[in-house]
Amino acid sequence: MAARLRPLIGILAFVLLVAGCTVPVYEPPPARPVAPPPAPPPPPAPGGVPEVPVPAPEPPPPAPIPPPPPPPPSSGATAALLEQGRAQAAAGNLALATSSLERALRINPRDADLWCELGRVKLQQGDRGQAQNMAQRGLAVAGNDPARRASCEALLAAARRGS
Amino acid sequence: MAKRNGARRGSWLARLGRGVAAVLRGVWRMLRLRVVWIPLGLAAVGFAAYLVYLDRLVVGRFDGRRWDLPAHVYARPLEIYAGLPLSADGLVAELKRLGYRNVAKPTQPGSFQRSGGRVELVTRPFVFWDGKQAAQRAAVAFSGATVAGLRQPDGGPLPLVRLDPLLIGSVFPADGEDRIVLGPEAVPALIPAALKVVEDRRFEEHPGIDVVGIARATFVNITSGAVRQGASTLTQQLVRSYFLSNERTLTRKLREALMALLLELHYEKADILNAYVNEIYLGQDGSRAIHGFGLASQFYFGKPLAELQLHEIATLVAVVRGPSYYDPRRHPQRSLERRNLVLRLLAAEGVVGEAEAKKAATRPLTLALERSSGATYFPAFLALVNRELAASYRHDDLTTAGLRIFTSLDPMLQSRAEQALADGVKRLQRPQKPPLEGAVVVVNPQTAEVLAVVGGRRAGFEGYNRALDARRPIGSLVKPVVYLAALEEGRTLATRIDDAPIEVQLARNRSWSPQNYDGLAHGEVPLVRALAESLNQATVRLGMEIGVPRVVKLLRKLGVEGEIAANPSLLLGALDLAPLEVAQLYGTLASGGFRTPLRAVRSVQGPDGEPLTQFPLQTEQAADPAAVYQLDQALVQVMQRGTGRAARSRLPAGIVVAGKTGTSNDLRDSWFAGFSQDLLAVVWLGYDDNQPTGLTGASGAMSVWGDLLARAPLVSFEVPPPEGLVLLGIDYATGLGAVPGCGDLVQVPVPVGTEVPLLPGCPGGEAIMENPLQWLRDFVR
Repeated sequence: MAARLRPLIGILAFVLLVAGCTVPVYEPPPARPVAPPPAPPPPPAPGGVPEVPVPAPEPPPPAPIPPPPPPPPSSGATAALLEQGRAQAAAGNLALATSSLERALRINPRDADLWCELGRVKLQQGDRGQAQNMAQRGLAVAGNDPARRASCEALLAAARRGS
Repeated sequence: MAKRNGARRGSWLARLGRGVAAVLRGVWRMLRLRVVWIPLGLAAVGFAAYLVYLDRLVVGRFDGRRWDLPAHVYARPLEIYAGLPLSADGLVAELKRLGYRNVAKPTQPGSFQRSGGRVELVTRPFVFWDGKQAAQRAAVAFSGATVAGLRQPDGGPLPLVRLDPLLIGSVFPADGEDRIVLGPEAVPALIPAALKVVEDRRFEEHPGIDVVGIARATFVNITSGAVRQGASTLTQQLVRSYFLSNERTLTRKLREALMALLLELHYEKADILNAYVNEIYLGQDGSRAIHGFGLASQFYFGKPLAELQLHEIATLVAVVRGPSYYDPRRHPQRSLERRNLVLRLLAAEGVVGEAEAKKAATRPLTLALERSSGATYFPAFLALVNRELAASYRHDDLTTAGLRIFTSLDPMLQSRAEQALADGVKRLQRPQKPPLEGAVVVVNPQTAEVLAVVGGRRAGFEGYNRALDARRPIGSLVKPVVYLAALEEGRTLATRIDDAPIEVQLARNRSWSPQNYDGLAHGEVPLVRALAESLNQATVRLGMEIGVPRVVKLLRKLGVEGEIAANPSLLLGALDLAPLEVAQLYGTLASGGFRTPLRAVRSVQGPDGEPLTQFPLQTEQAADPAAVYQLDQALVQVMQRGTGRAARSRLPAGIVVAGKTGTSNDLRDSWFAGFSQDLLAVVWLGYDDNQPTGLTGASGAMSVWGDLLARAPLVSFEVPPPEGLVLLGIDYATGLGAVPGCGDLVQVPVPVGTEVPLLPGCPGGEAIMENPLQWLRDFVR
């Protein structure tokens, strides 16, 4: 039995070695967590399994998708417009706030904060549907930025509650 | 001699006097008879009624004009910020288009100065949708084709500068009268002063008609035996302009004189003069009549009236006398001579200094290019604007309510798109064929704003707007939707599909056997290759597996609104769409599956600057984000390895773009749709009578697309991957697992847990150990 398993264990060991060697090569920048590594191969079958097929060589494990490079810096332009939009919304001037946030989105549509701030204005206007949609759009571009995700998740929950 | 003349004139006057006296005696005799009183009384009543009628007419028109204002349409205002993909040349081109003056030291609004990679400018004050924006001084630094930084000239921080938007047209009434109406405070004082000197010296004294002037002119005309002088006051000219008549009959003249007198009874001189400045006819642009100094300033000089210099104002005042005879574009010499006459008159009357006038007389006419005059400049885009507004506004409101319409048109991109199409159809034109036609639509897929619309090869002319109205079979442009449906159903880009010949059973015992463009079958191929190479047999097999109704449903969700016939031929693009509709469909694919209705109008403002209607961005998740991400990466492979390679190779090396070719049956329609991060362009080429073009999507429309994008500022199409996807290395040809050094490796995103068998003969990943650098290079690419 042990003799029959020996080549299989050898192959498994080799695969694990390859996986172990390659993962550091693919390791993305630390900002982005690695997707779960491929499931380890099943443990050797307990004794009594009659036939263990000789497996074909396995391809290398899939790699996590590298995040795109950060969007071009807008050096304060979108930050200034976001600030302006927030102030306008706080003053109850929702049409102007919408206009400022859309200006910012034209400059950087990959900034989740802008989508979700626009969603908050929609919510203030009583448009729950668009508030949710904006939150989802924000989440789609937020990547793994925890602060931005949390902000958009909060909007999504609020829009679903209707407050 | 003088004495004899005087004697003759005396006797002439004496005779006239005796004649008049005789007539009066006769009238007096008649008046003593009772029978005369009744008709005379009736005539007096009738005349009084006529006066009341004229009064109503002219006052109604004068007051009405204040409200009867065409809508004006503006392009997007350029926003300048650090990181903007714009070169110094690009900014200077935009400033020139806006009529900014290139000066040594910019201190006045509407001026700029460039030194190398640095542009200093002063923006114009402008009333935007979101409020009044004061003039702003700014210094812009460039690094290559990007804005490196922005600050105030004194070094203060400045995050953002918004220029005033280009006026691109008007929605004017059927009579073709277009005007920009200015308040007296916005009219340079030199204009009324010059008008008085040149056209009506006694304006401040006369009651609407100039008796002294008439006497003088009558005398001159009688003594010279010809009509040499007119004596129309500015008031009379205004009345004549109101009622659009150049008839020179006596009754017309009398009517005009009465109306002028009535007008002066009601209104102040200053009001009449300002109405004149806004009303007078100053030129013609096709079917559009240029009225008023405000619009004429834009039409001839491409900038606001407040920025005109002395020689330019003198030119406009010269044009008043005969807009066609003294047309500065068609008759520059004649126009220049009269301009200099105006300058001499102004100096003689002391309105301007002698030296100043002499200096101005040495200047050329400094006209703007005719194309910047608006109205017919971007007819295809304006047609889209009109369509969008028709849903919210009556046509009368647009032609009379003085609305200001802010759109998303990007004039730079629009010009490039027009140029790319014009070059393309010229290059691809076949001899002995009618002119090849085409259309281009450019949108920002992230905001769904329409940036440019070209409706045909001759972009400057109104007419059949193919971008909006030419619904043609989209061919393989439909394939991404088939693959997206398959990805949503759980297939992956590594899933293998058979490209063998296929026969689809149709109703009534008929069958359909579509073939590949190259006539070959390619065996078992992964979905990524089937899409990249636009394989028909594999696509139809895949589409039949998931079902045509599923594809129809997805097309609907992605934003296709017209009729969709659920036949198997739909899988290869038997679906008629206009380029604008294709842009809507691909916009959803380019924005992570969010459907956002396309918009050309951002907002509409009332005449006093108050916001009326906003057209806000609306978005909705229409497809599974993970499936869309996978599809988009396949569309990137179209450009890297598939039918789009030729266009990709014309773009900068590091730029990632995605796209798809489309060709209809018998090569009748040549399509390409492709996008970067924030530019999506759809190009169609074909004949209006639907003849075959001999062009595929790649050999026709794609070359125009490549031409356009190669000249546009590009940001790579790179988006964060949704959770649950990983990269898998497969052999491009077969879809089997591949490793560096073994198989034609392509990395595709797949759901976690996707497994594929390794390409036979591949050494199970040993290659990584042998050549990790090559592997890394492939990976990064």
